[in-house]
Amino acid sequence: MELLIIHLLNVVILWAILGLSLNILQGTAGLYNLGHAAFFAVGAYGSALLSKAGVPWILCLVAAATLPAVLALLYGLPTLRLKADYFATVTMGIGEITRHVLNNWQEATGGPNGVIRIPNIILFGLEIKRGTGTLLFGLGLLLVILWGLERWRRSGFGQVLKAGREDEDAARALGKDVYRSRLWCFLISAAVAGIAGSLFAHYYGYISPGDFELWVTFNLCLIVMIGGAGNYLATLPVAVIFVLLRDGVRFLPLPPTAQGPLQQFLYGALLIIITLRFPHGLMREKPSIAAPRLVGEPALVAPDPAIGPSHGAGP
Amino acid sequence: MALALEKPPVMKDTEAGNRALLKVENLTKVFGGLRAVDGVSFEVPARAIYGLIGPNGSGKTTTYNLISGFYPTTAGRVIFNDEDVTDLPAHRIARKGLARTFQLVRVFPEMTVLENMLMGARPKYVEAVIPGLIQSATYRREREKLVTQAMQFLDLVGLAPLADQLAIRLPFAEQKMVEITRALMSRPQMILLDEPASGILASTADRILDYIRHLRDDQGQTFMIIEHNMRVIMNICDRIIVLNAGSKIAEGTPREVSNNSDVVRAYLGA
Repeated sequence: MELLIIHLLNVVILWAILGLSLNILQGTAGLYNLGHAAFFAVGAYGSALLSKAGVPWILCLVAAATLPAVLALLYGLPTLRLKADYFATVTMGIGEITRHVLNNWQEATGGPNGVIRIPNIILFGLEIKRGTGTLLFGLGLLLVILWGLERWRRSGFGQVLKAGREDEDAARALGKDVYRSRLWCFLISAAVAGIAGSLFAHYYGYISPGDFELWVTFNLCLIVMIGGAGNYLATLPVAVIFVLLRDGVRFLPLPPTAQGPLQQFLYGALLIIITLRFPHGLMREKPSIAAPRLVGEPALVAPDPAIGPSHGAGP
Repeated sequence: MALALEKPPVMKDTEAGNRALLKVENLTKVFGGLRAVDGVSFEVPARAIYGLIGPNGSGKTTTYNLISGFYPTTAGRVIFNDEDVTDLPAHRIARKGLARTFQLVRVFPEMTVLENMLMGARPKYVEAVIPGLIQSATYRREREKLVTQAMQFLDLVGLAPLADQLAIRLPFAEQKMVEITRALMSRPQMILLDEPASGILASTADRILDYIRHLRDDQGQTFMIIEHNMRVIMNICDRIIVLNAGSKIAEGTPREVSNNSDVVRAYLGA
């Protein structure tokens, strides 16, 4: 039982990091990336293959972040000029292309058989054992990533992303290079997903193209939407709920063939309920900054009657 | 309340006189078979308030979209501050000091009033990617400065108490005010306003107009205004350019334009 809990917590951390990587893109920048699993996959394969070739893990991690970012640059340069819905469509294709390459490029990726016997993480001579070791290590990494992304969200850069999401034309009229900021966001998102990929590969010790199918991306979208798009902290509890729903089903007295459909049903039901009851997700996006009081002003100034709430006719 | 706002970088009064800040030459836009803007030329001197009027569909907003880089031009040139800015990307034209607002109000709805204001400023460093993660002392100081400036602007228009509200929650007129004030954060040399007084009560519109006039008189801000409300246009503009079916049919002082027979015909029919 204890082992199971530790395993589930490890899985939670993987989903949480993946959820965060998608949240900055989908929540803050408003870009629906339906090929997000591709970055996860490239990070996992990159890290797995390099470490099997004897490269120290820390360099594998760097590669797991860099390779997806390079891929994001290649994919993003042409596609980020598209309007949001076209972008979503194109990225779905990108995700599938990546998976098919992994499936068919047998010499490099092992094809459908995947990569087996991926070694444990060894960090500066210290082996991080699967179980509590990976859990604590993953948790540390998760917190660093959460901290970094949250800092970005509140920064001027994060605000430009958000402005581009809210009204691209208005942002451009204010001199914001929306395209450039989106490209950066895409790279960051891909790099974080790649880091999750590395953790994933070394935790399970075995990866195959089947781990990176479209449903991975859909589940991530779900995690982001249920938690609250643009609220990174919200991704963490939802990752827990998600894993509990997914793996809790197994303990029900049901035939194995009914478990899969029940999972899908539960996700679907959850999404519908959340969308109806909490359209902004469980936790709303927070403003990046609170207004300071003006020096020498009382906290609340009564609005000038000439200026105060007007009775605009509305648009 | 007295405010120590820096003045925007406009010329001194002595040289302001006749210098054209914005020069539009033979501007043309063809959509399929429709000549939406057809060889329009005009000049706007610094510190002026110019009106751009015409019946619906006469090409006013298209002209704005061409000047501000939102549509590629078919022909013609846009010179701003002696620099050819024709067909530059919209954000680069904005960075040269030519701001614009939109016909229907375009605040960032799910951002607070203060966040909206901060987007109006154009701080290279504060919006860069790596400094945003590191947030050095310089970064924090710069950002602090912007916040102070934004709050001063908000205070000036009486919106400071609403700074933490999401923009979408504000009444329409206040949203318009936020949009115009936000455009001022970058201290642009010229602002193209698209129907700043439409859809709101006359008294509120007067408030916005007073504000525009004040910005011109006190800070040397240059404006161009599209407006359907003739009372507004006749009151505030130094000169008026009249478009009809994509072409310029008249230009002159409000009095000249309102007595022009072509203009009357365009509005009332032959």
